[in-house]
Amino acid sequence: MERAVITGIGIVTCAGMNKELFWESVREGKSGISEITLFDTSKYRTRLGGEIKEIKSEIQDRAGYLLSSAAIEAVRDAEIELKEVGDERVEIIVGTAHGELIMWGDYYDALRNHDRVKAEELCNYFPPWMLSKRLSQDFGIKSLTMTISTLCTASTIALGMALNKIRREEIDVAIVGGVDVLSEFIFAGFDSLRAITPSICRPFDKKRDGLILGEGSGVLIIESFRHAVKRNIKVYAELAGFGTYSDAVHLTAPDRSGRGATLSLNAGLKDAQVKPENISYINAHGTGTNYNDRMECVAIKKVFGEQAYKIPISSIKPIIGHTSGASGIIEVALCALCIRDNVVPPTINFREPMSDFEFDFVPVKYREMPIATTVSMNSAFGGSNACVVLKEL
Amino acid sequence: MNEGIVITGIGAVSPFDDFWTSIKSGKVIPDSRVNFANLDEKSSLILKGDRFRTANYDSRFFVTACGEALKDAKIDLRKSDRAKIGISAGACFGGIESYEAFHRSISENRLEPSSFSNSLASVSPAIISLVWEITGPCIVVSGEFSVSAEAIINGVNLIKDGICEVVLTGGWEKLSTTSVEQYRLKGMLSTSGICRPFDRERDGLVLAEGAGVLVIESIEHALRRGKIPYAFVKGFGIGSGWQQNGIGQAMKSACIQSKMEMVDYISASANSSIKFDRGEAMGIRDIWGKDIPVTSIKSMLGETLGASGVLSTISAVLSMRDNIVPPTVNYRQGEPECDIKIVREPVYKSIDSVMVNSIGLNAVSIILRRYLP
Repeated sequence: MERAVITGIGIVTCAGMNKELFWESVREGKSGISEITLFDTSKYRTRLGGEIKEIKSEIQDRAGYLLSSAAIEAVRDAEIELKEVGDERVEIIVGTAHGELIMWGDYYDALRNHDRVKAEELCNYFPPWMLSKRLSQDFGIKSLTMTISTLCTASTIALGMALNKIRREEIDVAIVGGVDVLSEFIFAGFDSLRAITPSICRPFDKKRDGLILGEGSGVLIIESFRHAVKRNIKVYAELAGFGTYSDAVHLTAPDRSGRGATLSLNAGLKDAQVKPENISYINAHGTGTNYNDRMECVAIKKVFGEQAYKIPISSIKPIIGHTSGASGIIEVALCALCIRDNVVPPTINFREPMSDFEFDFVPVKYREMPIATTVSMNSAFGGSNACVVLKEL
Repeated sequence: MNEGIVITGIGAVSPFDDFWTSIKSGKVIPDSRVNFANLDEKSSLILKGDRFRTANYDSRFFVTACGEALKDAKIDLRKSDRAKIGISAGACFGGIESYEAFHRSISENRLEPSSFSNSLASVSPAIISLVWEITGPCIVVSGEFSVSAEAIINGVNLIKDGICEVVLTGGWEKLSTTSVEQYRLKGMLSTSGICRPFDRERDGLVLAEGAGVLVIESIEHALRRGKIPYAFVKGFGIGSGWQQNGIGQAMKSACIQSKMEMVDYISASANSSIKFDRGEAMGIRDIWGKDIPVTSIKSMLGETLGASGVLSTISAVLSMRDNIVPPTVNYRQGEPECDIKIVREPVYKSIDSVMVNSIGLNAVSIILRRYLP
């Protein structure tokens, strides 16, 4: 069976506009969270978010802009000429919750104001699948495109789809992306569900009380190992395993028993042919909400047993915010950088563990240690869970 | 790896009271909307209890089709390992009415949390997982006219890759002012209101709503539980875009994967769009010549967006069961570029295989073959 590897990384977040700046912030624990200026937050529980200040609010297609910035960086990093690969051997797979969310609002306003010209222009930017189509146009390739729409697991599942397509030898190269933008819509949505913290995001801490929203994009170039060897290109890590399962318990809350996440983790490890004790680092979803973090701990305990206390676990969401559909791929990209540099990032703001889950959440400072195998987990509304396992090559 | 994938259950929701009876006899939808009284009654039998109180119409559509498909497949869920059952869905404007509602609720300062969660396309498939306690993978893709056909392919792959034993797959579309207005603004809607696939006077899409779900599983799994399947999903192909090359690529790959050189007829994607129909007709001419019978059920059903690929597949399955090729109504005269053999009246003949095309963002061809014991 063909193996899949990561050969290019592109990341745009509030804590860094490219992968190295992002990596430095995350490693050093420098948060990019600040006061939101994109819209009026006075009605809501917090004024804070992971807004990317470098991108002007005048840019209309914010999601497309973020996605294409990350994609350009990833393609350059992989030193790949997409036209040489051939349209039929490339696929673009994007995960997003809402795509060009802000423009939808503008579109409704244009319709309400009977501004037909504006509405006509804006309607070309949604639904979500327009993003992957536009990305293929940006690169001037006529490849297949796919858009996964499962909220916070969207780009994690997009990676899994790419992995299996490469294993089936349907394609040689996948450009896999994730993107979501901050908007009043999603802000109001999470606020109405009481998921946003009025203070700070502190994953796995006893006093955690909610998440901070962010925005961003991550793009990975996933290639068959054979294709990467033929091009004689550097490889960050092997995309070795994937698992996704559902809770089937509640529409918005995670399953307290962690069933879906446990099934996903077990499947991802089995798919990668890795034993739980051989995992060197777990990147948790770690949103900072009471139920999510507890559910993840329950699942980690079930899968890793006593090993759970020995494996470093961290969440970068206090640094970049929760980037919805982009969070999965940004975190997998992070794991690839952990493998490259043998460093794991800290969970900032974490002070005191829950009494029953005193795991190693890498408080305060990054840690240098050999990292050979990582697992990154995500969960979403509707009880969706997914994980991706990377291996050092 | 499992190679023989079969369809063992089907469920359809459409503006027709009886989907197949109408399609096979060439009846045109009475209205673009489904019969809501009927739908409410059926869906409330499935969506019981307080936790589904806020389910939107997207979910009611999809759940109703799913309930019908599961019943048809006669699967005893109590005896099944539900982590081995997957859901693979496709949506075009999924959840858009709830999006509109939440957007309104923001400007009116009265946030409705349920409209927010319902605005996500993945919520309707998630409700399927809740109702039937299905813990397997739930994959949701967003796309245009071909999206539910792409979902079917993803579902087939979940079984071939050994991840699932059974997959519920399909898509839905609840029409909204946004979706209709978007196609109007793009100049793609028919002004005459008549859907004439491949006809030289065709003038655009007639939109409609609906939902469809297939139960698919490996042939071994079906026979082991004593279920005679409808048909094999023999193979599929995907090409990029709606142009003739893309659809040509899709049809060729489907033939190669199916190891089949001929099918009894083609169920076309043609939806009366000026450019899509021409691209498909030219692709068919390139690959098959002009003698293969071609029909489009969208002449009767209209373009159901997120549901169209799966509803075409369901119609193809039933046409093999009943040995009828459904007609392309409203077709009078083709154009030189669309010079192919259009089936204008129902044809009664033995049908063993059908190629189902679905063209949107990608071009998808699926070859179905009758199951012979």
